[in-house]
Amino acid sequence: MRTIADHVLDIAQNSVNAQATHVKIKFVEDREKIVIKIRDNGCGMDEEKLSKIFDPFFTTHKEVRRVGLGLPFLKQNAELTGGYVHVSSTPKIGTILEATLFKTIDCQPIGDLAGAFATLVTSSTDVIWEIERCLEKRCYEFSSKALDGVDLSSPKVIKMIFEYFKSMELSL
Amino acid sequence: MKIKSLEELQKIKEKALKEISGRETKKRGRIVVGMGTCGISAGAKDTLRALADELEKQSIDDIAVIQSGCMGLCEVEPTVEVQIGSEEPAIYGHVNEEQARRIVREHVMKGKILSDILVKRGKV
Ligand SMILES: Nc1ncnc2c1ncn2[C@@H]1O[C@H](COP(=O)(O)OP(=O)(O)OP(=O)(O)O)[C@@H](O)[C@H]1O
Ligand code: FES
Ligand SMILES: [Mg+2]
Repeated sequence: MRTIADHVLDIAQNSVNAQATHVKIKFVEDREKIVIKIRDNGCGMDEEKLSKIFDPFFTTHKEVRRVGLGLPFLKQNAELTGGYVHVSSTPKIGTILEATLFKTIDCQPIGDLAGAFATLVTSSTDVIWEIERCLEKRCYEFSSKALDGVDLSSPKVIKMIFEYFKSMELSL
Repeated sequence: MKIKSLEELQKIKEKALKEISGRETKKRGRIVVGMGTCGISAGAKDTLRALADELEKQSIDDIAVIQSGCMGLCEVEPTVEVQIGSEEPAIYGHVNEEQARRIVREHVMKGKILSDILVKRGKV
């Protein structure tokens, strides 16, 4: 079964593929729901493209229907819990995704969120990532700016970043 | 309530700049992990983590670990491309954590191609 962390990783990759240089992720969780916001300054989409992003046949990948990831699946999963996914976009300005999932029995497990964040922030030196993660009233944050000049392809650094997110998740 | 997360990042930065970039980092090779939708679904982030962990454990810091998008090899994800020096790249498929560690110990450290998980040689 796919996890919400898999979705976050997959959806945020779209921002990178859309040439974003700045991506902000907010992942806020309380007892009853999960709210995810991803905002990027990538190429954006016009009305026509925007109207197709939840169409499972629109994606460039032939295999996604088997793997269960991508925007149509996120939407389907969110709606199954009584939640929703909303995407707004402006060409050349960027895209904002907002998803709300209620923690019903139909809600997918959150999964390895720490690993998803660590993977994203080490995926490219051209993107500034800002992450805010809250569980009830406790929050932690990440900003790529704090790692300015650090070689993100170094195995040591990648390992440290995985451990950073893991310990942050544990501290919540 | 905010946890002191940015201070922790500052520590990572100091450590990284002191231990790593301090000396001239001439890379001997690179490992590319496919992080497209299929890769993610097949567990590529665990592959990435295992690669970084094993390289660090073996004190190897002259290999760059890079992520790429879709390699178009959905059936054999997670995929990993290894290129050492000027040798032809090797593309491995179904690279779970265990195979990732094998790649580091056999291919990166001993120059041995792992033919049982090899998908192809050369560029994707
Ligand atoms: N943040 C975004 N900014 C701009 N375009 C987007 C964004 N997210 C999705 N899209 C558009 O919607 C399409 C479908 O997205 P989806 O993730 O389902 O498929 P995709 O094939 O993974 O796209 P890609 O790998 O090219 O990003 C993408 O090809 C892209 O054109
Ligand atoms: S990630 Fe599956 S075909 Fe591209
Ligand atoms: Mg995508």
